Formats: sequence, C-alpha cells, structure tokens
Amino acid sequence: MMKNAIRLLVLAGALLSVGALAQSTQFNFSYPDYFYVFTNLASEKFDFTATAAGSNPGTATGTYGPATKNSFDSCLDTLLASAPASVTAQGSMGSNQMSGSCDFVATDTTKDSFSVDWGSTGETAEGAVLVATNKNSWAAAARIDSNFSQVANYVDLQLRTGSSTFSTLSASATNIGSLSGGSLSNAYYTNYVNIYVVPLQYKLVLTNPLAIPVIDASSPDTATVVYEAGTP
Amino acid sequence: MTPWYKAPRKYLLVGGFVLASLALAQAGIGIAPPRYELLLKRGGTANGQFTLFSRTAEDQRISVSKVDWLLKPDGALFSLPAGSVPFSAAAWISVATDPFVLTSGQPVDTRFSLELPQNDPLEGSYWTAVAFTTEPKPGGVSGLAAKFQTRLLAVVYVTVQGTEQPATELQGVTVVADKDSGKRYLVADVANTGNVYLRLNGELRFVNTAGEVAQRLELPERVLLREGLVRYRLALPEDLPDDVILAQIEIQPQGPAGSYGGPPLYGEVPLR
Repeated sequence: MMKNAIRLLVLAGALLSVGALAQSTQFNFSYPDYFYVFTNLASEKFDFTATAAGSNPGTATGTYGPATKNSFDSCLDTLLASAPASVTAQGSMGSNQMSGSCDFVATDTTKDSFSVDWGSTGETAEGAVLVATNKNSWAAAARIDSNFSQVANYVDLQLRTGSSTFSTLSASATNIGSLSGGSLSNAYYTNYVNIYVVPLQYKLVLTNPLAIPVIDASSPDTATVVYEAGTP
Repeated sequence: MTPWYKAPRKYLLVGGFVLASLALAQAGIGIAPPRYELLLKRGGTANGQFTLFSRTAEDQRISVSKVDWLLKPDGALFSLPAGSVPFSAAAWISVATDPFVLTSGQPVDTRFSLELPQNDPLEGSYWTAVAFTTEPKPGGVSGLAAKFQTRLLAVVYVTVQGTEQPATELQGVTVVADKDSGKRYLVADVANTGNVYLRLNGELRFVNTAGEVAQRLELPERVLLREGLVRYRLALPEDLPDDVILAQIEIQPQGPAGSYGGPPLYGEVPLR
C-alpha cells in the first residue's frame, strides 16, 4: 500500500511539473512578430439566481433559485406593480410598468485551467482573454455571432471586462481590450513580458415582462460569442 | 519495482484525470506575422504567408475566411463582411479557405497572394484581413448557455506606390471632466483627409507660467484609417504643478510601412 502511495505521489508530482512547465513556457515564441490569443472560457451556463432591484413601481431583491419558468414568474411578479402608489398625468401614452430586471448569473463555467491571479485588482472574473504579442498595439472585441434562438428578444447577454459596468453584447463589436502604444484599455499587464489579460464576467438580464409565457429556461438555447482580435 | 504502467487501475485513473485536465489547460491560436504592409504598383503582385500555431494540447479545427475591418474612433477593431468597406482589398487577395486542424507544435502555413488590378484608377491605401476562427467547444448544453470562439484577424494593407497623399487635420482640442469622478481628460480628434492609412505618435506637454515644459507624456500609437477618425481621450496627470496653465499636443503621422506621413500636428488648450 505504501509503495503504491509513493508511486502515486511520484506520478502526480511528475504531472504537476509538466503542467508548471507548460505554464511557464507556453508564451515563449520564436517568431520575429507574433500575436497569440488564449481564452480559458469554453462555455458558460446561466442560472437564475436572480437579484432584481427597482424603485417604482415594484422593488425586488432576492434569490429565486434555479432557472425554471416558475422562478421567472416569481421574479417578474415582484417587478410589476400590483397597484401604483401615485399617478401623474404626463400628457402622453405609455409608461414603464416594469422597474428593474432579473439577472441570470453564470454558473457551471467551463474553463480551461490556466489561471489568473488578479492580485490586488479586486477582480472576480469568471474567465479571461489572454493576449501574448511583441507588437506594441492590439485590439480585441466581442460580439454575438449567433444569438439565442428562443429568448433573444427577452434577454440581454452582458459582458463585464476591466470596466466596472456590464454592457450588452450584440452583433456589433464591443471593444473588450486594447493596447495602444504603452496604454492599456480594460486589460492588465501581467508578470510576463508582452502578455496582457482581460477579465471576463457574463450575465443574462431578463428585460421584457412579455417573457413570462415564452421562456422556459430549462430547455437548451445557446448563444455564440466571438472574440475578434488583431494588431492593426 | 513495479513499472508505472502496471500500477493499480485506480491510480492510472487519477493520473488520467490529471492528464485530461492538462489536455484542456490551454486554448489558444497564434499567428506570425500578424500583419503585412505592402507597397505595390498598379498591376503588381505580392505573395506572403501567415503561420498559424498553437500551444494547445487539444487539436483545434480552424476555419479561414476573408473579412474587412474598421476601427472605431476609440481604437476598437471590428470585422465586417468582405467587400463591404469602401477601401476593401478583399477582392484582390487569394487565399485557400479550406478549414484545417491546428495541432500543438505543428504550425500551419497559409499562403496568400495579392494582385492589384492594372487598369482601375486606384490610389492610396486599401486593406483587408484573413480571419482564422476556432470552432466552439463541441457538446450539448442544458438550459441557457453561451459558447465562445476566437477569431484572429491577419491584417493586410496594400498601398498603390507613387499615389500616396498623406494628410491629416486636428479638429479640436478640449478638456472635459468626467461627471462621476471629476477626473479631467484632454480630448482631441484627428481626421484623415488624405488617401493613405497613418500611424500616429507624439506627445502631450504641460507648460507653466514661465513658458517652460513642466511635464511630458508620450502618446499611445494609434492607427488612422483612410477617411477615419482617431479620438484621443487622455487623462490629465493628477500631480500637475500648480503653475501649469497650458496643455500642448503634438502628433507625428507616419505613412504606410514607415513612409512619410505628412507634417506634424499641433494643438493646445488652456488648463486654467
């Protein structure tokens, strides 16, 4: 038994050494000019552990459990006013009968195992885009290449990078990070020369109360996000 | 001693799991060189190649396509269908678009040729890109999910030799304050009024009441496409001396492949 345990330790140690070696050498490129992009996100599944917030007419803050139609209903019910507190005539039709939104936070994130130590940046990223290049400028953008087939009209897929706020992705590109001369936007320098990293965090936001009879979040529906990058 | 391959199955399973984890450890795609800047006469031809490489343990299937691209004033890069921008070179570039499998340690060369038409009244710069796109992770998902792809744009510029007319215009220099943070920024727009793309470098100087330069900041390099606009939004240093009263911006345009890009641009704005 003891021998087997030792063998296992030796095997595991050897494998971990290989892993460490891979981590430290994978960014060494012999090309005069190169541009290399990693992402450690393969897929993200969204669950409905919603926090909803609003002021008028409804206010909701809470957690509504796994993504089911019932939890959608529960969240949306709290956003819709049962009775308005006051009414002001505004001389035109239309008013916002829904305040706030219901968020899907990402769970079951499938990540490849390169890791980023965000140090003191305070980031809580789910994943990252990592750029390795010896050019002094690059730019990376994200866009939706293929949107949800069932729920695209009712939810926004949002991405947060180095900035503090989420922004909605669409078929039009959203800048997620760039290096211009020595200035980085939304990206971070790393402890490796010529390697930069962009934190990524996704969520879905339910934006349309008409979704109640439509969405069944338990049925499969996928959006495809494309990271586009180059050194113009 | 028992050789490792005769170790009990459960240990091999553990080892296999670790290996499987490592096999998924890196997902990436690289290119060398990432761009070409060609100078050709009308009717001229150039050949080149992009070397695609990977350090990913898993094989990756790569699709190849021609795309066009533009830059937003803030420098954001975005692709568009080939032939959809006014100065697209997509129609003149030939590249094999068959998908291929990229394996770690086995680079794949993708050759291209670009031929400028002889008779068209071409002048100035044109550009396009060859896009190399990974496929999303296979496998089904339950519920709502997002999958991810990576697309590298291998950029190709071509400039018609002897027709270059570089020209730029500094359209305004102002100082604005961020509503939330109160932080001040110098904002300046540079428009391309010529017919070639340009690389902009330069510096920002802060001048005090004695007329001396109290501080200098190097400007990040920006690419200014033909008919394009570059917007600088430069944070003013918080440690500026009290006697600094003026900000001066100087921009040096550089033409295609390091050629002459026209005269420098100057602008200034009072800070007090």
